[in-house]
Amino acid sequence: MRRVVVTGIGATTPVGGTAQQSWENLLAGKSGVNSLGQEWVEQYQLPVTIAGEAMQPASEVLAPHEAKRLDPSSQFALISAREAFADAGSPEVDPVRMSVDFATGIGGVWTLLDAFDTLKERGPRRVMPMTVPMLMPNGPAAAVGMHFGAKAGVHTAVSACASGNESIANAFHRVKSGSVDLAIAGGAEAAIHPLPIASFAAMQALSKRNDDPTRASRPYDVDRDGFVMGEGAAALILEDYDSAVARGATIYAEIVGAAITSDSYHITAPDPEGEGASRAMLAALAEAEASPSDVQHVNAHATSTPVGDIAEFTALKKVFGKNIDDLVVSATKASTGHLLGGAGAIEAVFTIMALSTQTAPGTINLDNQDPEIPLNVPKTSASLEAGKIAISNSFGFGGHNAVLAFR
Amino acid sequence: MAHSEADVLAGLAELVNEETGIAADLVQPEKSFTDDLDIDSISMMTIVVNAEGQV
Repeated sequence: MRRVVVTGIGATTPVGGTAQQSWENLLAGKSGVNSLGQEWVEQYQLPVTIAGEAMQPASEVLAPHEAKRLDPSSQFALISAREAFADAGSPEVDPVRMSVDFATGIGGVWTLLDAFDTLKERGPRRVMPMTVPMLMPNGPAAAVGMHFGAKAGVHTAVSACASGNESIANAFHRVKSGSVDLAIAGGAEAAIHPLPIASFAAMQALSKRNDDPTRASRPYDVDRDGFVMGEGAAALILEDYDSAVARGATIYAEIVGAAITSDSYHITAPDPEGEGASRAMLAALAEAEASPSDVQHVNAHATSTPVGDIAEFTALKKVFGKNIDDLVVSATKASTGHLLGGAGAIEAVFTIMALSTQTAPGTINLDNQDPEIPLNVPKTSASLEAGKIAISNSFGFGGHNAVLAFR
Repeated sequence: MAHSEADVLAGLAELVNEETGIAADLVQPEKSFTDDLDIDSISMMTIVVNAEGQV
């Protein structure tokens, strides 16, 4: 089996137009959450009026004819993948040895609902021919695959908020097993649309701290009241270690393990015992041939929902036991909001940056840490030792658990 | 309302440019959408839908 390394990163998020800018703003303790100014907020009397919109609009980066043929989720995917590929030094790779794994949790919701409005208001002859390729959930992966000419397979994991991690896990295993030499992996979401907001709000999943947007996403705080939707994408370039070294690539980190499990407990609620989540963490560490004591940093799923944050803590306790106090935990959704299908990808970028700079990002808005969750969660950046493992957790509606381990 | 041939050409060239990025001045009466401008069928259909919307 081959070793798999990350040689390029890219991101467009609520806290930055690039991976580096997102990382810098994260370390600076900034929030990407704002009040939504769109007229539909008022029009539909939405109970939630805040979200983390991408800091740099896709229209500022893509040519108009590129943007026109892509749903916003695919636009973000393409922007982040281009940045990651360039960051890796635009490696020359045989197209039949290059694959794409790019996730979305929700798919092309803007395209779908706009097209339905067109159908209702103007009839079927006005519905655009590109509607289906733009709304399909594999649209982001297909856009990235077409752009780079990847011919070894273009894949989309759809597992709600675990989708990004599941895609990276799948890409990792493709490179590790030798099926491909280079994989572009990531996740994207663009669902800040009145329907998903109304639906998530209907299930009481979203924070209603409308009058204080930058402080609404507050994982582990006693006053957390739900997650804040975010949008954007992030991408990684994964390569076989030997090829990366041979071409003199910069190596950010190595992926040493990845695991996927399922709860089969409830369609939306996490298993309160954290059985499936802990099993995923242990399986990722087993693949890494590491023990829990080798882990120093955790980028937690930590969405800021009352039950989710506790369930993850229970799972962490199962895995780390008495070593749990040695963990330095970051809950970066406090700054970015929750990018749903893009969450695993941006958090993978942050975990990789944490390892490569030996700096765990601080978690904002943690004014009164929930006494039921006594984790070590620094409020400002904390240093990390070299050579230790970092894990990044993602869990999704449907009972999906996906965990990545990096060194 | 009647449109002059030049108006139609300019309007069509704008739609082609928006959809494909092809420079508007390359859209000329003697050019073929498929052979000269290399526009695929789904883009052609999109241009048709947009053109009909402007009639």
